[in-house]
Amino acid sequence: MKKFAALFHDLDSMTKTNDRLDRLVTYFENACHEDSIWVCWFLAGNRIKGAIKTGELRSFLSEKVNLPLWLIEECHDRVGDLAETVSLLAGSDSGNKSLGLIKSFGNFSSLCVRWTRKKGKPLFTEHGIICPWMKCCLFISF
Amino acid sequence: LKNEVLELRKQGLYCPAGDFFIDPRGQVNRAVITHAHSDHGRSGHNSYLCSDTCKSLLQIRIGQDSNIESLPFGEKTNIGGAVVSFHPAGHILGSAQVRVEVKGQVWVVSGDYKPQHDQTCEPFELVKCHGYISECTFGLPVYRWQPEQIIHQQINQWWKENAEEGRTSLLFAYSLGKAQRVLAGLNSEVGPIYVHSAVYPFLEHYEKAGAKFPLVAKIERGQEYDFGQAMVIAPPAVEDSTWTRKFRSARKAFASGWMAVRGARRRRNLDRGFILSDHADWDGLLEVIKGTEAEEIKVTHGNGDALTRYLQEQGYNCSVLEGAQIRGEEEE
Repeated sequence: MKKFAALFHDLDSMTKTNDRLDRLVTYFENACHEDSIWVCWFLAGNRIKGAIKTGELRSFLSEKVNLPLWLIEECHDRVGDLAETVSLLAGSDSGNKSLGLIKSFGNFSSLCVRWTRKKGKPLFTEHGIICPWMKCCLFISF
Repeated sequence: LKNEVLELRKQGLYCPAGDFFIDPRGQVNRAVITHAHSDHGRSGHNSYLCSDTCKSLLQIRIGQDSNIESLPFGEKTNIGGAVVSFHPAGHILGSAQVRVEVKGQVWVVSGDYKPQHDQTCEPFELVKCHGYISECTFGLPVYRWQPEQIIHQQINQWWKENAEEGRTSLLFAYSLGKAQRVLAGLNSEVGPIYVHSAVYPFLEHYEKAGAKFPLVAKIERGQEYDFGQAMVIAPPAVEDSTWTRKFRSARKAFASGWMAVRGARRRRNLDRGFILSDHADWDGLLEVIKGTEAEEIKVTHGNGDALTRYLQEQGYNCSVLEGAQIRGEEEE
């Protein structure tokens, strides 16, 4: 997961296509095949759609970071992107632990399903905060 | 705002008992200045009072001939019926909170402040008071700073990577305060360091006050340089100017608290943003405001609505300083 977060961070900060291609080659040379599939899927623009509604995510966040909902909304307005807002407010408590992408998203998907059924809390797992269905894909502290 | 100690007038905060203004606009007889940034220490007043270490910086900004008196931090002076003293604000070198006491009532005007560690200026001092006027430039919880050592490491790493590619690193940082803070953390083993002419004049005053900088060369107008693997520090005001054209192939970054939000970074089309601020972050604002034990809190400079509401909900007597000018992003 951290390698993917680093990849995404680098791609985001690069302004030249060739630099990005070089970075992708480096990533795929070192990543395991199962993770590579997820990376291709996300970088091709796919998202896990509608897993959680914006309002529900904001409520989660409010509870998690112990800030009132209106303040979460103010922050969202300022930042412009909810995934990034989540990352800025909640950070990551993953420490040095890092799971493979396949495991992270595997866990995540099952948690999402569980949440939608039981209203559990999928987002703040030990490997950080995952909100790939947002426009911004991922903001994970690493 | 209008009480026995302070009131808000057109030119800014005014102390009737001492007949002086704090960080005023326009032209006043007596100006008490919190720090030497241009939106606080303005030219045109008849006389000035600031902290000792602020004086030489203020002279660079408003002219050597200005009538400036100064006081050491912590020393009290009587101005009319008011007792005035300066206490370190930790924002830039010489930056002060102004403590004003009239008939036993104490108000403190924070100016800009930062309780986080900064090796280039005096550490922030918490002052207990009845009323506290706090800045709130970064008054949302999305703004939380990491220790400056981490940011210095990030900057040095970025510089090193650029140097290995044979590229110049052009880092925008405000010329007074931020530029010096960046310089103090640079690892001069990576390459040579150049600064824009707007940054250079402040360095000697920082060094006199005890700041340690690596060897720095000033970029003179009309001279040719081979910047190669150098780090170049320049104020953000020159970002879109002809001056920056000679750095076409350089990697560009900006050091500012605003860089915490991705959109602010991308709008400027920068390669990197380093989150290094001279202001208190959300936690810093709360810690200081609560720590002053003030019965009345006023916030200014920035969008104070969120901070005000948050503190009100926790039972604090806090409101936005009505009528004070809302400041933009300058000098952050």
